[in-house]
Amino acid sequence: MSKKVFLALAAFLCSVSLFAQGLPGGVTAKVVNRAGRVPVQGATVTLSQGGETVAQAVSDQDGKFLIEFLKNGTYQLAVNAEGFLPANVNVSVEGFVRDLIFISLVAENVVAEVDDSNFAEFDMEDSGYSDNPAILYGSNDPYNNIVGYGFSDIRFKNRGFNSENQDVLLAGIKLNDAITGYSPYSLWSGLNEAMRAKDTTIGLEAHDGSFGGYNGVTNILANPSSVRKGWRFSVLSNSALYRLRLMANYASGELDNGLSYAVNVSARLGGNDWVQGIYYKSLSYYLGVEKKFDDVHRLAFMTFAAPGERGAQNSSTQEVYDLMGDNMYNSNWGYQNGKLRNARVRTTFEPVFVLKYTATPTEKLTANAAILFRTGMNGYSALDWYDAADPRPDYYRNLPSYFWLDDEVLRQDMNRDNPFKYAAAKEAWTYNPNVQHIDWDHLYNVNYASEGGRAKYVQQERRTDQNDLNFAASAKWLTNSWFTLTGGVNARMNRTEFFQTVRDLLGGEYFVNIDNFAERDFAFSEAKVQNDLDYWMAHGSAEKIGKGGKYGYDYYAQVRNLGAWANTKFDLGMFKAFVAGQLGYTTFWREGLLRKGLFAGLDDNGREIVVDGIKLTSYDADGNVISSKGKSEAPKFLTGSVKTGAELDFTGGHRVYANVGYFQDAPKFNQAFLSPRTRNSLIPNLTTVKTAAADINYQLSNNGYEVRLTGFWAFIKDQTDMMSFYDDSHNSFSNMALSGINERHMGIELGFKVPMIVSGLNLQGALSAGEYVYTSTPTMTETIDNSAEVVVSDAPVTYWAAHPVYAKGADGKYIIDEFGNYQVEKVQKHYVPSTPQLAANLALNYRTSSYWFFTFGANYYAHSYLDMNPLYRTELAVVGPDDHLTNAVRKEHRMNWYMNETVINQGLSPDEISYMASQERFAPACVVNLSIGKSWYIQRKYNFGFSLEVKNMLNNRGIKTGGYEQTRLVSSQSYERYYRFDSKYFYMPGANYMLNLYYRF
Amino acid sequence: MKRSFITIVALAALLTSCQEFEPVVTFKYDDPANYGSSLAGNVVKPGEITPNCTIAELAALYKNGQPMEITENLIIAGRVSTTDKPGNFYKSLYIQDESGAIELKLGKNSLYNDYAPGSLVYVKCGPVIDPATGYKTLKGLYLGSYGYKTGNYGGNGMVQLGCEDPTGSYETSYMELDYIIKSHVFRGLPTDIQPVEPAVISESDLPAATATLAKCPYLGKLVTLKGLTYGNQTFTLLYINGNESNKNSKNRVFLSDKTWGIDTWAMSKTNFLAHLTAGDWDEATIGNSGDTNYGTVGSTKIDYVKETDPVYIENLEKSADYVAQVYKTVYGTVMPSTADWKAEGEKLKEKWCRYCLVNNANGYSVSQYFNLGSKEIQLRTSGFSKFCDAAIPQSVLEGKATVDLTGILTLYQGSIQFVVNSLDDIKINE
Repeated sequence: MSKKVFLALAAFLCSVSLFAQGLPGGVTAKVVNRAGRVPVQGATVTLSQGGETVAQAVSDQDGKFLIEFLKNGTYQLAVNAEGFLPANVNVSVEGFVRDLIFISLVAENVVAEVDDSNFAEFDMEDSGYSDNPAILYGSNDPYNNIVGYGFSDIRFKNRGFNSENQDVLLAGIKLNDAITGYSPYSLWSGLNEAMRAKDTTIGLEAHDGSFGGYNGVTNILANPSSVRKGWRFSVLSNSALYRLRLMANYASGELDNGLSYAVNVSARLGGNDWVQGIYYKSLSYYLGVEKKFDDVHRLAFMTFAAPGERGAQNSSTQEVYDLMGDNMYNSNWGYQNGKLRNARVRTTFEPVFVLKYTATPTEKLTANAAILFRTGMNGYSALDWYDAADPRPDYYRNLPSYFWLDDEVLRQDMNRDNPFKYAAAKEAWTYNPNVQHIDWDHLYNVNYASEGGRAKYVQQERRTDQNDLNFAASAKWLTNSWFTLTGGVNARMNRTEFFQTVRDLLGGEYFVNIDNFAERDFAFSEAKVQNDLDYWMAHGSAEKIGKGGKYGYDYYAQVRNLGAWANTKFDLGMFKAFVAGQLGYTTFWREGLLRKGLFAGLDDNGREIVVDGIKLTSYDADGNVISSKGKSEAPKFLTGSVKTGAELDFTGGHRVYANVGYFQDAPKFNQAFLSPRTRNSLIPNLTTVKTAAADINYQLSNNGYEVRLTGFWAFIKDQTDMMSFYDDSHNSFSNMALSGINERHMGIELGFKVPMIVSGLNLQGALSAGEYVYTSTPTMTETIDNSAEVVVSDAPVTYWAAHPVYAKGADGKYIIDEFGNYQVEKVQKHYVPSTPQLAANLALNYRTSSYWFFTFGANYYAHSYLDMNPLYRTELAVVGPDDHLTNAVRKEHRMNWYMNETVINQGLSPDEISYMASQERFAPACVVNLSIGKSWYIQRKYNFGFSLEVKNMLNNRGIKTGGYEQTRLVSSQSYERYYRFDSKYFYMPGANYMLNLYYRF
Repeated sequence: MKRSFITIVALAALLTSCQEFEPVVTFKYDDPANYGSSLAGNVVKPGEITPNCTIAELAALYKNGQPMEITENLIIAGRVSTTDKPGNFYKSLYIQDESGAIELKLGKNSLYNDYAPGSLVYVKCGPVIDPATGYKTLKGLYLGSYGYKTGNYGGNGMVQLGCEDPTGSYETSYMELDYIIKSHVFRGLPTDIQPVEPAVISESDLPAATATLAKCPYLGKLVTLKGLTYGNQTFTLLYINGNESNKNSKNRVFLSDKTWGIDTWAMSKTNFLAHLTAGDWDEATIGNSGDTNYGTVGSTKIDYVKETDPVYIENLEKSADYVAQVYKTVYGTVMPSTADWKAEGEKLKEKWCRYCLVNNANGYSVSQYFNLGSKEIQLRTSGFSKFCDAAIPQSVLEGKATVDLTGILTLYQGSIQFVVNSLDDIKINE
């Protein structure tokens, strides 16, 4: 308070002094939070000229300030406010009070740090599912502040949206992965200091630097002048992710010569207390230099990367967790010579280079242009084997349940009736580490003994190496006090090479480049099983692959994007509005670099390929050549999106605003090809994704009260999904392409922070309550990597969006009406998985004047659902092998869930539907957390502090954070039905801590 | 403050385990020791296990049709005479000593990686006792037979060692679990490989239908038969519908008594489809012997189809697209655009069996018959063997050349069966 009084007094004295000189010039503006234009009270405004302070002022409760009695000339205006990054503006004073209208401040991220490394690497690559964390950042919004970090333990997806729906910009360039659309947080993982400065929007809100989508924008500024000035060192230890993080950061701030530079390095090392095999061996670096040439031009160059390794965590079935007595069991590792070794390791080195130019020719016009280039390698290792036993410890045939089931009916029908082997398997899983974990020594010894040194087991590395060139330019023009025009263009050229290498020969001398999946069916034809037919034809034998050599598959994904957008903003004081639009063009294609024997295509002269009398050229159902080599067809998508919003501001910090939009997005490359590892074939019915979305919001920011209440709705239409998983029944990868997936997301979110009676004590909370459901019947096409056959062709996934539940009486028997029909009690919806649809937080937060803080609170999570396997929702799986449904009955059932004895006699029963089509809902969970911290200031220059967070204090070890259904069916002895494979799960760690020590000056 | 800092750092250090840093500090994992020197992985030194029983003595304990648990501490030893590398043996291997041979039903794929041909194998057949507690931790292995059948057309099968099969489907089941295998089956040093030399035997050495090891010491052994002539017949059992039990008569088609155009040692899925779509098996009847009221592969009785798959009939009558799809499946070519789909649909109704067989296509085992003197020998091959589609030389098919076979001699329901390891075991005498 005394500081404010002093500053106000200084401003007053300056004003009086200047007034005495009879000068009419001045400057005024309203200081606001860039997110939501909420006024910032108490910001210190310093006006200087030639390095000399001329005047100072403090913004009032409406964020306004006024400095008068200035001489004509150019001044530098610096605005500083607690919780925000400093802002610098050049001002020309020309004999009147210049109204700058707004000075927008970007919130400093004051919530606990969250980045990609807060999320364990879930190993889901062979499952067909994906799990990419969606990270929500703070920006001083009471909801985001809590949810962004506080719900990361449950891998919360805000509003149920996947990360590809969240726009992530770096230096103004949209950087969502060109192939998958995923948020690319891993590129700067560990660089919290350099990437701390962000501006974010929520939901459909307009963003100054891009069109944005319907799930918010996070724009990471990344330029050195935005990095917090000075030195900062920190040591972080935690027990649920990685043990140790060391970080150092230095930023020069803007020097007198206009130069700014910043360096941020960090190392994340070690494993954790909960999941064996997970480890980090990662470094990160950021280097940035920026030059302000004059009042108009500014040029910045940044480069950063996060090279290193991460051991991945695998999921297992509940049976395995129970056998191990540990829900955090990880099947990915084993002992080699007594040392722990993980088979699934993510290795990355993807440096990013950014050049950004900013021009401010007038106070009302700002323009940016940036070029960003991403390159390097991204590898993910896995065990591969040829003509040898499956080395995975939790392979289902190694488990007790493969030999015995307690349920007598299931036991008989699934032929799991050997109690002796059941007991033996259980005994082995209980005591034998070579059964519980990967037996590396055995894998090596198989290779040692192999004839000629041919490796039977190798550790492969699946590489996804991107060359990604991006350009974006944007401009912001404040045409007058009430109208602002922003707009921009962007272009992207991405070439990603997908290939596979031998990472470790595991004691062997070489691996042979043949398709071991194909060999089972085509052993008679040496040509057909070749991964590189051209090599085989040239040399007469398959290539022997040494360490580091490529094998298996090798292709480019080529993606091209162009876009243009514009946004008009109207500000009439209490009423504000915007209208924005975007046009986009996307095309992509696959470019095979190898000719596989199975899909040899035509030769260079356009002729069929015949070897030893066997025709290798094959055709699809439409008569098109199936080819693995060369360019595929390149689908083209023209997209258009619009959104608009309006806002009413009331006195007392109340604000009501609403937004609505319609969006079109091109499908992503990874969803577009039937089997990209092996061929050029596109999935059927490829089309753009259409989304309609709206939200309505109330916000209060006054006297320490912070509240936001939002209602949101979105309907997403025509999504595609591509699931590729290892299917040992086919001894190959199976690919399921889903088309026509529609989803509806709606709900409310509430965030609040309320001061309590005791000074420094606040009650804070957040609530996200939604319903995210599937609403359509998509179609499914299934292929297998080692076959040209289409296993399932464009079949409806009848039970995808919902399944009927038939009414039962008190006696437990189904109720049948007078016509013999079963009564549908309800149509059970199926939900968008992998996030709680109800999540809440309530906490008490106390900050003392001596810089202590305490937060004690609890999170509640409910309505989380397991990821669904589409196969289980097809009639093929639900009706079972005894599918004798007539067309009429099938049609009737699809229309209104018709069920009676006729249907049952034709093979479909209510029990089968309930068993196969139901979606698992996770039990609700409560997590109690405590944070404590303190800062010490020494000589007002040095700052040392710590924060200690204890999460999941009640040590609840039964909270499922995700999982998936396996994509397989079990046959029955009766040939009347199919059974599911057990689902796999990930769990939240029990009680864990995170300790952060920092020192800055 | 200093005290707080030291306390916090010390606390963090205490909570850290060394093991979690192993992958961090290990830049290259050292190669594990070879079993030959480490004697891990169930490899035993010579003399470490002493057999107390010959294979023939063990096999003699088996009484026909009465699988039995071995409750005594019986230990046999023998050398591996088979390999599953070419894919003609599946999930089991044979070992033999001077006295005889026996099949070990290990129940794993790619056994040759651990049990190379010529390597020494010890089998502790009895229950496994925990030396610390004296408790039995695993039951003994089971002796049983594959292929024993009573009656006029029956006879003995081949004695096997496996686990109990409580379902009674077979006399023994596969061991399957590493824990069971490694508790009973031990390997000699990897360097101790002595390939098994086949015994050359003649017609008179071949077993009778009721032979046991006591009467025919060559049963299960690696032997060479010379001068066999082609028998001009094959035996293959096809299953029509993968969604019905293989045991249902109406789900079976027997290709027997003649060659049915099969001129390869076995039959891959591709080869199978080629025969089907060429109509080679259209005359084959559906159903077990004496149960042939369902028609044939090429002309299935409509009443049978209506009863079994009425939707097939309905779709052929109503949907041109469906007719085109079935046409392509059944004939392997696209239906001409000028074709009358209704007429084609009518014809395709009786092609139901062929349609199902194509949809359920797989690699199939084939038995090719050869004669050694007056004895008939069934040469069994797998549709998943790497030589499955290798053609039988024309000279053999025409009876102009004989063959010498080296492989495992077995009995199945009293008939002589012969299984080769690879194509190299078949020598053509032009």
